[in-house]
Amino acid sequence: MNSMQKIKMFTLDALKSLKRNKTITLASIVTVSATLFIFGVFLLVAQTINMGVESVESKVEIKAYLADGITTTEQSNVETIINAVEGVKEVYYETKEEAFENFKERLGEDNSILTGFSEDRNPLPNSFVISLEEPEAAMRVEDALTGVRGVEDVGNERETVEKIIGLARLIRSMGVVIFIILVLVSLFLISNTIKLTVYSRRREIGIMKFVGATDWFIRWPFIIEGMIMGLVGGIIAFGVVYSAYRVIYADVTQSMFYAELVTPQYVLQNFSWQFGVTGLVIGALGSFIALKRFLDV
Amino acid sequence: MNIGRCNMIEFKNVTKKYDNKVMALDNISVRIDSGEFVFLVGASGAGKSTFVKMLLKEVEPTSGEVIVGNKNLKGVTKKDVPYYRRKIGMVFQDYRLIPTLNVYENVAFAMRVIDATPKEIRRRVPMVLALVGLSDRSRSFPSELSGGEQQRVSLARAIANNPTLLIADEPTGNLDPETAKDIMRLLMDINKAGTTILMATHAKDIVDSSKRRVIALEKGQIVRDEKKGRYEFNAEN
Repeated sequence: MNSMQKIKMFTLDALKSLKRNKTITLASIVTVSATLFIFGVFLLVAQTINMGVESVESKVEIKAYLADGITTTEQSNVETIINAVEGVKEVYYETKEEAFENFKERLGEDNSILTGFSEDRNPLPNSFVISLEEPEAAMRVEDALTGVRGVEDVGNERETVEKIIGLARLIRSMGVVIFIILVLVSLFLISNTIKLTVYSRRREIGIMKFVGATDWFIRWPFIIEGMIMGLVGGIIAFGVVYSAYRVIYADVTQSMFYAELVTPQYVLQNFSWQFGVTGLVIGALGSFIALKRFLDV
Repeated sequence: MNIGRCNMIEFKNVTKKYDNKVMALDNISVRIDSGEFVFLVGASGAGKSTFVKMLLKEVEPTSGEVIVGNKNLKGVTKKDVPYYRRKIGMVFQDYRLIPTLNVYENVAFAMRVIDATPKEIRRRVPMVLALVGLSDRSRSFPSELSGGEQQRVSLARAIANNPTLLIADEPTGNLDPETAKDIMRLLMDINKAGTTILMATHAKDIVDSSKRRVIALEKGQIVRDEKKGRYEFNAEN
């Protein structure tokens, strides 16, 4: 038999068995879709948090304050040094006047503390405002500018930046851990459900073994069966997650002016295949695990 | 498997001690030639099943060597076991047919499992079914057959892949004497065609009337090995 004939035969066997064990098939599909649903909700939450973290990260700015008597050569030298640092997104020259205006604006109604100061009596220095691709770059900029002529000080809110970095890391590693736990739980559930099918066919497996079937010959139909159940479960879970999220998204964006949320479009493009692939893999692996004990004869 | 004219099965000082310290086989040496028909008799727990399981490489000897058809089973790796088993036909007391498949499919199943082509299957299945006299029942399901008929299906399945060795484990255990005789006649026919047959049994009448070689096991040892033996056994009633 060539491999095409074999694939066809195994798939037919798998479909037959799916039909024969309707209850177990249904239970497996529900198990897959339930776990993938939880998985999807988690993924959405993680994605949203991640977007929030990224937007905070992208807003991290530092300032290099320039000495009052800086020469043009020194100034362009400082700019070159800053631009050469890895992770610097943009460098903007802020004059002391602009800085004063910005400061006043930021203080808003409390700007009375600036009484006595004016544009002529301006305590603020000229500076380079440096926006960063990642907060980690702040330290690098600071290091690069230490001892450079014309630079008075680097305003780096080190503690805040470090907190942001730490939080982002924590959230991401927690995400990975939860992801792994969810995958393991779903594998466990699915392999146990598939074990029921395998158990109901243990006689057949025993017969296959003594007439000389190889382990893979016995495995394939079960694995294809698992993959079909996983895929169907994945599609159902995706459908539920996607349609529920569309409603939630519409609701949230209507009631809040500013919400940083994953778009339903993004969910459709990414989650659809992720759910499918996860379902397939979980189904196949679940079958493999379920068969292990029955093949050890 | 390349079968020489002579040895089909050879046990060389084979001992099997299970984890629970039970001595299932105790230093057994025996030779069965190609084409022989051998009865393996003994009370329950005498070591018959261990003997059979060793031939299928389901059980490894604690010491000693098992050689089947010039092949030392020590050299058969776990991966090779399925291929090795294809040269052995098995028949059990409880037939072990798949209830959801009909007679034809049950036999075809055994061939399909070992990669036979559809063409081969279509040619061979009717042939073996005719041999066991079940041509007209090929569309029946196991539940619609008598015990004797089911055992004939299992015989057909066992010989479908042309085994060089057929192991029958209590093949007549569930059958009435008349039906048992039919099955014995079939086994004799299969043997005449050249297949070596090893039959583990408790059926005294059958052993006595067949006048074939009898190997008797007791407490893991061979207590008797006679060319045209009888069943008579001390511990058996």
